[in-house]
Amino acid sequence: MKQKIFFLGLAALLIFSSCQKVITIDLNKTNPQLVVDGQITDQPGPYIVKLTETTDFFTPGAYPQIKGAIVTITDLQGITETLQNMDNGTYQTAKLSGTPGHTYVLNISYGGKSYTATSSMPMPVDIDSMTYGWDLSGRRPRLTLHGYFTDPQGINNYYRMHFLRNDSLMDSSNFLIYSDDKVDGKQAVINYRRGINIGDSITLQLMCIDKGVYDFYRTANDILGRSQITSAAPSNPLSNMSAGAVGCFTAYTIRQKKILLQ
Amino acid sequence: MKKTVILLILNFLAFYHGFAQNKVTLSGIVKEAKTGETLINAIIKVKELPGTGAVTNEYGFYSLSIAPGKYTLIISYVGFVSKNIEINLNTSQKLNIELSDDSRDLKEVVVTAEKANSNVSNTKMGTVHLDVREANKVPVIFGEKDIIKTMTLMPGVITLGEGNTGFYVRGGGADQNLILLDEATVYNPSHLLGFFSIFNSDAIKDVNLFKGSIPAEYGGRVSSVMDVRMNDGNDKKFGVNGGIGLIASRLTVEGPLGSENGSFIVSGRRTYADLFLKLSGNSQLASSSLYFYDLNAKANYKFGEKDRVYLSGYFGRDAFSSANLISTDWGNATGTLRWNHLFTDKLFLNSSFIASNYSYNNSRTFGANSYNINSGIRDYSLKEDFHYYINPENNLKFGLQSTYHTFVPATISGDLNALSGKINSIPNKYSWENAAYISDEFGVGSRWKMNLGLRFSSFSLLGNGHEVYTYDHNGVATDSANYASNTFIHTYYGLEPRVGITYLINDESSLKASYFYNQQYLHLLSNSTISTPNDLWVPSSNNVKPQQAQQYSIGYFRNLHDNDFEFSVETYYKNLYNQIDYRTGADLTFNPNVEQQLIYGTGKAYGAEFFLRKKTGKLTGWVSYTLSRTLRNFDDIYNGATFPARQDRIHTISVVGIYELNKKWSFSATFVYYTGNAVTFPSGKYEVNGILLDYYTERNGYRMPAYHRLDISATCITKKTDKFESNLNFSIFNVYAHENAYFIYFQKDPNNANNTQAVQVSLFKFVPSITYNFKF
Repeated sequence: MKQKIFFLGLAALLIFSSCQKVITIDLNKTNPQLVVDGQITDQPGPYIVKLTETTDFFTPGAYPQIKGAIVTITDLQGITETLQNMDNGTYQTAKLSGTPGHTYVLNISYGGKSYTATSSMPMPVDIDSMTYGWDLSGRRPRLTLHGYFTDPQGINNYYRMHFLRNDSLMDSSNFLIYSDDKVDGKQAVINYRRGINIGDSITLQLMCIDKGVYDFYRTANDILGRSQITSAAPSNPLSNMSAGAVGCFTAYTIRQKKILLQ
Repeated sequence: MKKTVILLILNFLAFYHGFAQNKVTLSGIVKEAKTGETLINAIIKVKELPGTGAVTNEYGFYSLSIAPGKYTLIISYVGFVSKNIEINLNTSQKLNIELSDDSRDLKEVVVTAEKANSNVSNTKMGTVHLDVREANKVPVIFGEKDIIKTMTLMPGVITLGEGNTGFYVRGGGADQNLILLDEATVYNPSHLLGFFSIFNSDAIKDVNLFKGSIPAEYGGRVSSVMDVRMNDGNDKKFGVNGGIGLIASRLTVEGPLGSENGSFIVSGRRTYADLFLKLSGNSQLASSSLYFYDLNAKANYKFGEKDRVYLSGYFGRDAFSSANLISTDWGNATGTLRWNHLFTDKLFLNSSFIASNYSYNNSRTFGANSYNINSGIRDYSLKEDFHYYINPENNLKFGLQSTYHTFVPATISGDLNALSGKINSIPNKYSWENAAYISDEFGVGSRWKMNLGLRFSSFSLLGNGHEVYTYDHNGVATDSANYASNTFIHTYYGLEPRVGITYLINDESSLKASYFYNQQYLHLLSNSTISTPNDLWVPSSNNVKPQQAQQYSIGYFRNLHDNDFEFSVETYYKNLYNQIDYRTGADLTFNPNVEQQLIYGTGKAYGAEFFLRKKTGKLTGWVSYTLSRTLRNFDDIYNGATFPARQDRIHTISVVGIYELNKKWSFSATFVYYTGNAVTFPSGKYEVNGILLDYYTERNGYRMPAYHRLDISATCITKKTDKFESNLNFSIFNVYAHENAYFIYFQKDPNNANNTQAVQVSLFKFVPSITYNFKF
């Protein structure tokens, strides 16, 4: 018994007793910057562009909505449409129809400045299948979902994933993305186990995005939460917006599959 | 160019020969009485000739040329009892001297009150000498003695964050320090992601850190040189010593080889932190392993009076594996074969053949498939170092060095390509680095001393049979060419002068000034704040220019109270060129074209260092204070705005005290206080798809909170006889449990999605440890 206590004591000393607390820091005031969150997909519209502004870091509450902008989307292989201003910081299309293989240009004119972004809609990739099972490698078995899709060979593909639990989007602490930078033309498997239970119906949405959008999500993940820790010099993500605006305009395709965990 | 250098050497030799005619030479080795370990930097003074003396070199050798006569020699070494020897010197002769650290061991007489003032009178500036015996008395976390951590208690040397052995000298980067273990370059000095250094104190004799004027015999890094020398082994008797600690144990075996003609030492250390993982209820953790070990071995043998051969090696490895699916291991291996030869009693030559290898392996198993990725760097070097003791006022050093580097970015074996279809091995890179140097330390009159050094270095990137690209400012390839193996792609060379001047105001005080310029041809690519094993060394190339540094320093040195106290103030100003950073979002892993991701800028650093040290008595220790700034400037970072480097820290104070209460008990304490180093925090925020993103407006525009900590340690000698010695060491790290910020991150308030918050993470609060050491 004594020996056991001794070892427990040693172990306690060894395990880095890291401790966390919320602290107060003074951060500088910032100049508000346009934030773009816009998309066009291969599903029927309307498509929405949401405009807000950055705030100081500790400013509570909602972000200021940008209501007085002129927003257009041009299909380089088709029409240009001026989006309808919904007066709550969102702007939506009426005519445009997203088509894989087309390239779209977003133009925003606001406060005497103009901002643009270009995004190409890749060809869609289907989900081959979904399964689930118990991962036994941990202390207790964990329910794990597997989604399979086949990456097209010879071209660069970039993906983003969403998981919906009982048809509502599950929170995620970062952007779930995947690229074939290192693995090309193989069947890929996506494992997911956070917050799912027997009885849930889970939908996997697989989105195909272009490199510019992927780089935005990838570099955004580098500064999310604790990822800041090991980054020697965190910086703003690579945005596809011009003129200092932040955020991203993305043209993507979407395919989905649903499975009931029972 | 090389011809000129050689001519210059010949000139020096011819010129000085004339002075030495009617003098005789006393030469030999200074050793520790008990173990026979040679003593580096021991001082030999001649009582009858004030200001005349010699200092032992890295092999304990000294040479002193004076007129024939009757003299009293005073031999001293920090922490040892000084010795007086009367000698009637008629002809040149050998005199080997033994010093003891314990007055009771002295069978001969004479303990002298004479104390060394060499720190005042020599031309060295910005040099820290650590005697490992002394360093071992300083308290450290988990009771693991660590020379790098002790070094960071010295002025001008800092570490970023707790448990990080990466160190920064006078504003330079962590990759700008040349770390040598018995002359072999150590490319990664850390274990366990930086929590421990690879230097096992039991195997280390002596450490010198050059942070100011780097002597001409060293080169290749722009910030500092840390020269670590291994123990030679006891040449008098066979001995074993070791220690059992909380997380690691050590064992050393040493002994003579053939009746005091040689000796050997083998020293090992292993951590067993992973044994505790087995106790874990988590089966994944329990099947994981995480440990490191070190093995140091050295042997030397004397062939006659003029030749001695040394063979030394280091092998260390960190290993981590998880549930037998992933395993990584990394570490350094070095080997040095040296031959000391005395041509005359004044001309000493050391020839070395050195091999150094840092490698990192990563293996994975996927079902039936498995693969291994290997990366690292390998060096083979040859060195010739001459030391010519012309007379006590004039010491000449010259030599040649040549190194062949092999860079291994990623070599893949196994099924990875079958698994990925895209990843291939990245071809090795090769380069050849050469240098010739000459330096001369001489007196001018009785008050002035000068040290002039000149180093000529060259670096050639060699072809590997693959395409070599040239990139423009934006990282876009503009040109490419194919170079066959071992053809020259690009060669850089440069002259690197060093100048040091000392003016002796009186026996107790001096003014010193120095200047140096040098170049660095190898660069470490890492965009992480912690020391990770896969950080990559890359050579200078057609795209990556050598880093360069210029440093000016002025200092005032004064000894007080009959040389009991050493005091110094040194100021420095440093310009840095071709500094390297990364483009935003750079992906450095597995990237065959990493050079595309690099951007280049300049830097400067300046500061003042105050140092007061008490060397003798029951209470010894030091107080150091550093005031410094270090800034960087890159066209591609925030439009060329000057920003503080991460290691920019304005105030740093350390206090170290060691108190020998009696024969049984000794105590030590360390206190550290510093203001926060520069860090990048967000100033604003925004949301995309409901995810909070930080909005940054500048690089390193904020400061971490100030850091302070007190550590204490007590050592109790439990047994001490001629045959057996043992002691127990108790220590407490961070006694008053101050929560020092390890890092700070920003997030949405988990309890209120409308708010955002800053969270501070602290690591070690009040860590006690105990170590048992023995020796027989």
